[in-house]
Amino acid sequence: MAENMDDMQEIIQDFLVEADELLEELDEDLVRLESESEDEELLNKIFRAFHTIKGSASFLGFEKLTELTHKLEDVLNKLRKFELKLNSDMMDAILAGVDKAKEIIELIKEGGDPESVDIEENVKQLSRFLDENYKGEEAKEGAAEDELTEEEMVELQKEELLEEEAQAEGEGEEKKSKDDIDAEIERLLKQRMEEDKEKRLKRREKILAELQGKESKTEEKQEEEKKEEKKEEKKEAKKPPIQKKSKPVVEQTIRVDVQRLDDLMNLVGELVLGKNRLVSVAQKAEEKFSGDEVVEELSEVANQITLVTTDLQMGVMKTRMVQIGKVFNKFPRVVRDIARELNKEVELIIEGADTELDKSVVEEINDPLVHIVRNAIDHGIEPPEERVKLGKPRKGKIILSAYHEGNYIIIEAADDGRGMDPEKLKQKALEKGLITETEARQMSKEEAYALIFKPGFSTAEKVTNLSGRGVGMDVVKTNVEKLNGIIEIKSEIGKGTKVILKIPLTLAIIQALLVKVTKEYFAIPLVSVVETVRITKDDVDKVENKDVLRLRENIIPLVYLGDTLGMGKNKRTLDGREIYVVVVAIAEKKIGLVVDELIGREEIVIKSLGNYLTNIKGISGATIMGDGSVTLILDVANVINEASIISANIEDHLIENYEKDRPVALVASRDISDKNDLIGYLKDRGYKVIYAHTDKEALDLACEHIADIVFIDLSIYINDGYNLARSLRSMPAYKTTPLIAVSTDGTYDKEKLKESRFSGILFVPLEKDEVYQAIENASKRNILVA
Amino acid sequence: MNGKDIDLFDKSLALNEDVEEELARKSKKSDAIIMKDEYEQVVGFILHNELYGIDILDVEEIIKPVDYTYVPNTKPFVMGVINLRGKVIPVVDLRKRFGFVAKPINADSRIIIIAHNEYNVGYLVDKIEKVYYVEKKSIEPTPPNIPQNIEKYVKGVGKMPKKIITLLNIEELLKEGGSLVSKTGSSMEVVENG
Repeated sequence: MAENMDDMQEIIQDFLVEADELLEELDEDLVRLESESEDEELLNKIFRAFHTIKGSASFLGFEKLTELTHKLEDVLNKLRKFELKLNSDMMDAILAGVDKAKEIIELIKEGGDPESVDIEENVKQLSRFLDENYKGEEAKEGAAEDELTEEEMVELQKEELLEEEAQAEGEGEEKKSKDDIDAEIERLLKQRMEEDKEKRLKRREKILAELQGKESKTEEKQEEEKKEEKKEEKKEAKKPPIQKKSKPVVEQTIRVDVQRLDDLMNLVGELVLGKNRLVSVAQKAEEKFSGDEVVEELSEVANQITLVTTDLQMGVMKTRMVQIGKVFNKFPRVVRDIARELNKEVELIIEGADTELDKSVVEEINDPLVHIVRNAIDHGIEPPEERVKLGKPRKGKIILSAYHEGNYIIIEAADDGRGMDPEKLKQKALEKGLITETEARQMSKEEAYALIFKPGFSTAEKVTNLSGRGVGMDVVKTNVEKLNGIIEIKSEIGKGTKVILKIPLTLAIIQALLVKVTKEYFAIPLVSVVETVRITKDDVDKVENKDVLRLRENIIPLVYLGDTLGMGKNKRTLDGREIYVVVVAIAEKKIGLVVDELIGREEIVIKSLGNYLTNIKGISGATIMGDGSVTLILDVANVINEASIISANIEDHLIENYEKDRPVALVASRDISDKNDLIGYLKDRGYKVIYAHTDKEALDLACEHIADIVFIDLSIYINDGYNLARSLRSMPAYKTTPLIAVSTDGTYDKEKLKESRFSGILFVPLEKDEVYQAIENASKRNILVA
Repeated sequence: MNGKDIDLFDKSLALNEDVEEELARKSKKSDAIIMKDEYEQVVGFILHNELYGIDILDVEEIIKPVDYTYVPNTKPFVMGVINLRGKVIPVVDLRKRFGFVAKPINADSRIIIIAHNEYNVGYLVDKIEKVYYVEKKSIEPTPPNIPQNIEKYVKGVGKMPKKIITLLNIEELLKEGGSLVSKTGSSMEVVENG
């Protein structure tokens, strides 16, 4: 029994996938049908789609869905036999029906009751067209239909009945013997002919009465028919290529569970980490034993693994790629609906629908695009009359295009509407209190355009149910930010607006710029990095007591990265002669992050911080480096937001601005009995002594107080004293500061001591004279070096 | 008695003399069989000179302190994150969490890696004792003399023949999370939109 349930579940799953695909295609096809209403291929395709869904739905017992799709199928059946002629009323009803079907499918997916959906309205609407008395444009063709001979009628109906019967069989509802079926057909046929005769009689009377009154109109009709014929001819000529296109191509594809691809991607991620580690080990080995044969072999292997891993990564990434057409294809429908509602005429042009990008990105990109297109139609494109007055073509144009640029996909939505006026935007933002007068005055054109992304901003005079609520563009911003994308807007008054989205191809493995700030390292996604510059403290300008950098034409706000992460208090790590700035941009904003050091570029695999640490401000995840350490990945969007409320200045972090009344000694040591002696000696000599238990603590304190001499216990936790010394030496303030090693057990590694550039070494127990001597020696050597 | 419900203790598994003694005592009385269900196995550790215990089923492993990466915008007791065989795991200083005076890491310090439900968190403790078998019926509810800030995280107190062990409610500890506040953006924007 349980197995049966599983089987059933599987069948339903398959059905849902299939129905989704069919419905998606339907949207596109139906909109196409509106302009090519006589394309038989297309009509048949749509008919088959409805038919397939109906069949499966009735088999699975979804009654409402069956009823709905049956009606849709009936209407399409009439259309494809040209018994009905498509008009926009009908199209609306069909599209509404498709929407309802989607609704039911969604409900089934969510485990809801598919029978709870109200389809009465849709069925009623659709039934209207099925009624033989339906008076749409098809009434004009009524006469032609009447001309059908009795025989033809019978044939037609027989066909229809046979088909219905065959469908019933296909659904597996009834299984009748052939004889039974034939008998049934005969019976039904008779019955129907009786009915039809009656109907025809009535109709003929009616038409006759009409014709008498509208003799003149028949001529027109004839002319129309002629035109129709001409069209038909034209279409004949066009037909061959269409047929060629629709010829079934056997595709060699298999369906794969997305979860499996995700797992595969994770494994590749692990592999990339392993590769990074191998490369770093090989490099180390090369430095240490260069020339050794085994080392050369190791490097060779590392290189090969690097190549293969990169290929594998590309390969797996490609399997996750889908065409952006999957998203774009929804737009003909979206544009049609919006344009109709707003009484505007819009033509949609899609370019680069075959551009590929990661599946996870595709899912996130749909909503922003809908909002952008909505906005373009609502605010951008003018009403047809106005366009004509302006000498523009009556029909507005929206171009959706996509193309690759390096590791990004660029998606553009351009319209030829009225464009945006930066002054008007500023005015509006002022009225709504979103910006101040001064801000407005200083704003560049681009910054003014970016105002539309502010929540609560809307230029629409009246609120429609489409736009004007000031929510839409905000959604665009958040979604694009989520993808680490960048938004750019170009606009020209009277000519149109172009919204450009630049989005990274994949989310799992990214390129990042490693930077150091205080004792910590951070990875900044390279997609958000615009450029890096080296400046001096004199390049830092001030606007309203906030630091800014004049970079070419732009004025960029400057902020110390440590401050944005809430870890910059009292930290002095910047050398005023060499300040490194990473200019980052996200969505529509751009700022300069001041860091202590630029480390380099690295390929990183994004890992989550787990359930315990969720939604950490400023941090989007972590990655594991080649040496096994964890490095955090910056959430650039959040950092930029945070930057606007920071009051600390760059100069607060300059080493040279550190004020002290006496020399400072930093003692980093485990809890040892001798430490108090040492502290005592140092105090006696006039030092202000700061004490750290661990290397982490020592580095933190070293950033806060610029020490004149440092004593390091070689066996300090967590990493040893050699490593601590190395870390200190990499900080600008400690390049030449005397570092004195303290060995608690009498042992030391001479090589490492040299490598970490210690100035001297002391052994426990510490004698006062020895300590003073060491200080003297270290200071002397320091002078010599300087 | 049927074989399924009972379990013979392998003597080598019984790490503490308390149980060994008890085993010996029981073996004289009743065929050396004790019900496993009657005992809770806990990892005992020292924190601020007191003995605490965590259910052994929640403990994934115990490691020596390793280099960790500080994570900004976390609660003060979150030391940072470590790399445990390719997994990024947060580490909490349990002394700080419970408001005890800080004690620098020393040779005895250990990190207990907890794996409970979807959570993976390491807790820094002063020293690991051993695995204790605590008789279930000897576990008493939290006595009132336990400080208020810890009370929430205590499941009960186990009385063993020679010692008292405070059993921690690991779920409560994990549930609170280590993030300082959720991202400012979302909450503020909701207000603005509304």
